[in-house]
Amino acid sequence: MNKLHIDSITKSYNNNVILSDVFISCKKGEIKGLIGRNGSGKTTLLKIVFGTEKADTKFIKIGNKIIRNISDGRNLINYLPQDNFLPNNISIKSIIHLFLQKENRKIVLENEYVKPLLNKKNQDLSTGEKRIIEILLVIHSRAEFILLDEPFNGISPIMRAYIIKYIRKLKSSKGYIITDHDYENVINLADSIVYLQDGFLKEIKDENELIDLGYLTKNYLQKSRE
Amino acid sequence: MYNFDNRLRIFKNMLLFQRRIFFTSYFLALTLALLIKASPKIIGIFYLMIALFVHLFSYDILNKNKYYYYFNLGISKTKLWVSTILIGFINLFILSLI
Repeated sequence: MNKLHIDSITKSYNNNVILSDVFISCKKGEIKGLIGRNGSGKTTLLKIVFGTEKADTKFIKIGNKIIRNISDGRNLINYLPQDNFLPNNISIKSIIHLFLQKENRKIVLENEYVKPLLNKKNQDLSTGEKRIIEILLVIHSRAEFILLDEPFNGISPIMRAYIIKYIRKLKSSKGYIITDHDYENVINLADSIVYLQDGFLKEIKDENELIDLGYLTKNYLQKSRE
Repeated sequence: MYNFDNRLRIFKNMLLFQRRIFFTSYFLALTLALLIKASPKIIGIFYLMIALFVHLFSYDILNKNKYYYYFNLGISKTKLWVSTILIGFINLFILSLI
């Protein structure tokens, strides 16, 4: 099962087409960046793939297995939502034990950033600390494909660099689809970029295409390159 | 062995989900039952009804995002609702034997 195949995704709200016959695929060992303006439907697309949002039409397949709902995607697709999803009133150590399989716990329990937080509870952590725990849990789950929806929300620049390096290091064992408002994070991490606009996906080969598409201004791109 | 460990982990996660619903609902059901001096069977009926409201209020209204923890474990919303109803009926059955 080394390819996530997403096809014929169509979604409309009140006659407003959000996604129109979207096709995207992701191989194991690949990091695909999904960018687009606010409200372009990036999160909706990821939620449809994960199975928590209904689509008008969809066809999702991993290897030979067709994914129709969350249960079908168990151990195959995991999704990091934008907001905190960890349960409250339970220690981080217990969450790691309950969420991860035996063989994947040690690496998270011994992580330098997680270790000092093990006896704390979710509600006692800062936004950045919660995010790091969530990212590590999702990355180290058994799922073969990981959907990361704005993983760098609330994370300091040092931690952002650490996470980017971390995902790159583990990249060969899983496939990733990542979105972020800061396109530089996505470009730094992704092997290929797709741009979502008016319900359609376009593959981006050159950053200059983002200027033509109205996503970036020439000045912004020049400044970010300096 | 792997399957057993995995199933046990999923079961423990369902208990984690139910923990908050169970204690809050039991406290409210017992309080209500004490006020009207109800029989154990009525406590069970109160619990069942209150648990559904606590589930709806705690997760579907206040903490919708917390569902994602369970979704990532392959536990759907339907399974979580079924577990709330099931625990309610098991509790009602036990109390009606008293």
